[in-house]
Amino acid sequence: MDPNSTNSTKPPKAIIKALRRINLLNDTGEGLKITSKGFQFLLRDPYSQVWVLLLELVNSISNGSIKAKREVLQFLFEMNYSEPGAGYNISDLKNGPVEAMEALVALGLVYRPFRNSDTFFPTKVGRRLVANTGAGGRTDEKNVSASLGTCEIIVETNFRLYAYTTSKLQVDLISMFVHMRTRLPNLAVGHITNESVRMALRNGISAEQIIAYLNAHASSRCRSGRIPSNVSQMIRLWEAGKDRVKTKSGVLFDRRETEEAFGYGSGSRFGPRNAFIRMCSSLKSTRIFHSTGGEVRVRDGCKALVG
Amino acid sequence: MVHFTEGVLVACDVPTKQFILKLDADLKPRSFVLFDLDDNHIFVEGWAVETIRNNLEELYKENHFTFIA
Repeated sequence: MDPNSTNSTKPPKAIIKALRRINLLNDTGEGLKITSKGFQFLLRDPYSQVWVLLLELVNSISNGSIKAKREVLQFLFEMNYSEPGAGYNISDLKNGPVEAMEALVALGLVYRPFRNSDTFFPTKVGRRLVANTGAGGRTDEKNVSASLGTCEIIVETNFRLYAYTTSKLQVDLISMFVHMRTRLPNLAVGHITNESVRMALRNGISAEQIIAYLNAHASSRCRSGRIPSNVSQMIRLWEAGKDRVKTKSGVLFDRRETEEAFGYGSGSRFGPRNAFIRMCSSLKSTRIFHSTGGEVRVRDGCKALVG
Repeated sequence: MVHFTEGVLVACDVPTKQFILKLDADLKPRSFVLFDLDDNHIFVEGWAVETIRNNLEELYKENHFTFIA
């Protein structure tokens, strides 16, 4: 699968079903729409993404039998030691991997020359799936990333962003939170603006994720290997500006009126031993706020007083 | 008996709270503020939360400036 191609073949049904199950896609009235969890998923590194999908697909085969799952995991570890470019026989595999074969082909971990062929070839991604530990090992990542679409990003202190990539997927990903100005065959130029970041925040991506993504793809030419601190601070400030107001629904309990109704304080006819009276008189504020649900207890307490 | 009022507690900073009070005064027939608790808290009716958020968003848009070289 060439990441530079604009070929829009639909992904296999099994993958779409798996995406819906883990809530990365939502089924709205007009078709499937990406969720905020889906946006976060997009910003992760390719190996994490493959693992999430793989776990979901493996869970769904064999009705989730533990034996089948163990066999598939064993097969993944075995792939790590397979020879590059060598083909293997399907009949050598146990039941679990055979059932999961379709899912593995769909994810690109295994290659079969045609459907139902007897031989299969572990791909580069499949072989390194277990070996690579996510963001670590940048040299490893560069080898595989060449097939997944490299992306080097330079962020300037004036909030301009230069993304050296040929992959359309990466450019689309960046344009989720960057206002793109120019697109060249191997370069995309844009600004990180208030508007663009707010749009991303509204879609459910957090500021930390944006910053982590930009740092992970920081070009080797950047001296500190990270984006400028004023840019990362500004992104966090924009996120904080979104939450100026915190709301909590509930019930306001006015103590003053209750005081008049029950006449506690000195000369109260209920006596200091009652727990409810003690609670009321110990509270300094005249108004007490309960989150919804607490009112039932207060009401019960009052009813108990009245008798 | 005991007096309960249902609504939403809004926690914010001082200028935002003043903006909410002004908004309430502007929407006079449909005012939503139930209790003014202290400098940082205000108790409003449930339906008003959307209105408050939309108006804050508009205020923000009016006041911020994006410079694109």
